[in-house]
Amino acid sequence: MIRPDAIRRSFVPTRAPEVAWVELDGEVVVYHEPSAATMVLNATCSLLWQLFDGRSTLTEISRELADEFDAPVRAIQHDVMAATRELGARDLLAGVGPEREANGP
Amino acid sequence: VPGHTTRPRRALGLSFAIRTDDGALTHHLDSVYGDLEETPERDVDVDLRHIDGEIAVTVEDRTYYRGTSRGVALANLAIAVNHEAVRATEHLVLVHAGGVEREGRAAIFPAAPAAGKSTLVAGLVQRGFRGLTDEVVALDPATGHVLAYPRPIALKRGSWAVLPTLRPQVEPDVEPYLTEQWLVPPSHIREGGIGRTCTPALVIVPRYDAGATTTCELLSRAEALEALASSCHNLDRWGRRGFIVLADVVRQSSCHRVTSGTLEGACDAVEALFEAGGGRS
Repeated sequence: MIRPDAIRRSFVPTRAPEVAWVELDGEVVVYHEPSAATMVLNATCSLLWQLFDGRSTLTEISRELADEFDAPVRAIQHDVMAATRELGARDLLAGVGPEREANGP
Repeated sequence: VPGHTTRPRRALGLSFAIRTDDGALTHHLDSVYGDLEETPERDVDVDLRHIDGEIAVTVEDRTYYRGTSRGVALANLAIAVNHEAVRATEHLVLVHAGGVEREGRAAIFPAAPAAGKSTLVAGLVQRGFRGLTDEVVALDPATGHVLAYPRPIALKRGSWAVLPTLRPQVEPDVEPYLTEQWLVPPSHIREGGIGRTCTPALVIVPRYDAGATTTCELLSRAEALEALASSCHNLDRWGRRGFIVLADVVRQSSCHRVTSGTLEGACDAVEALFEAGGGRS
């Protein structure tokens, strides 16, 4: 289990198995079963969520998005890292724990 | 044990009867719960009785009210029946929302307490819609259909001025029980006022805002799903299957937020959304 701020470009994001999700008109809504919490992801997180296939690293995902949007990889990578850390902090990624758990005994 | 008992009826997954020590009140309760299906037996008794100068509303060992106000006691009796019904229902996904039906299509109104759900449902039934519920929308997870739960619509004091004709006609002994709420079954608003099993077509988050002009905004399906999920009574029991049932509701619905300062304005907005073909792609 790693902390969200320990996520690096080589990280391979995988959706947590206890999370159900649906895509509705481009927006992703997730349901975190253990806490019974429902969240609407913002546009960046919605896009990324659908690209998390459990095989691609954040660098590879950033390159794919840079090609797609014809944007500089560095700028895209910054947003991808921030959004992925946010998803991890919300307990939505496998192997990533929120700060409170990482700081435990 | 109180001496007067209503006929047993089914509220969602609960079979119940109401026992009181007041014959006139029992007669009134038999009437206001009369839109619920009669059952041969009951699982629980909901008791309203006078004890040592107070009135108590209890179900088995659960006390819903103990005090001196008959009006508050009756309001709590309605809460008790509803709470017990939700508690006993395991086979349906239940959402804290009002709902109406027309031509086999449902409008669902998820909203916080005091948002005006009951008033809106009563107003729409007066206009020719059929009432599904003013409090708990029941979804069949196998079909995605909305089922009618025609408990009496609970109209609080704030609604009385705009719905004066719905005041229950009761014997004088029952009048003191009507100081807080009127309990009005949909069939008493108009004949044929009870909704039928139907498909979701509209999700509308209503909000009463005194003095506001009526506005109707589009709500994204994602926001509507979040509204339904956060209002779901038993999502923790249903887990991801319940989440998917709710997602299917918003997929086949058009979703809106209606803010209004008048019942007429809110009803006009809902009617316009229905006429615009809400839910028909």
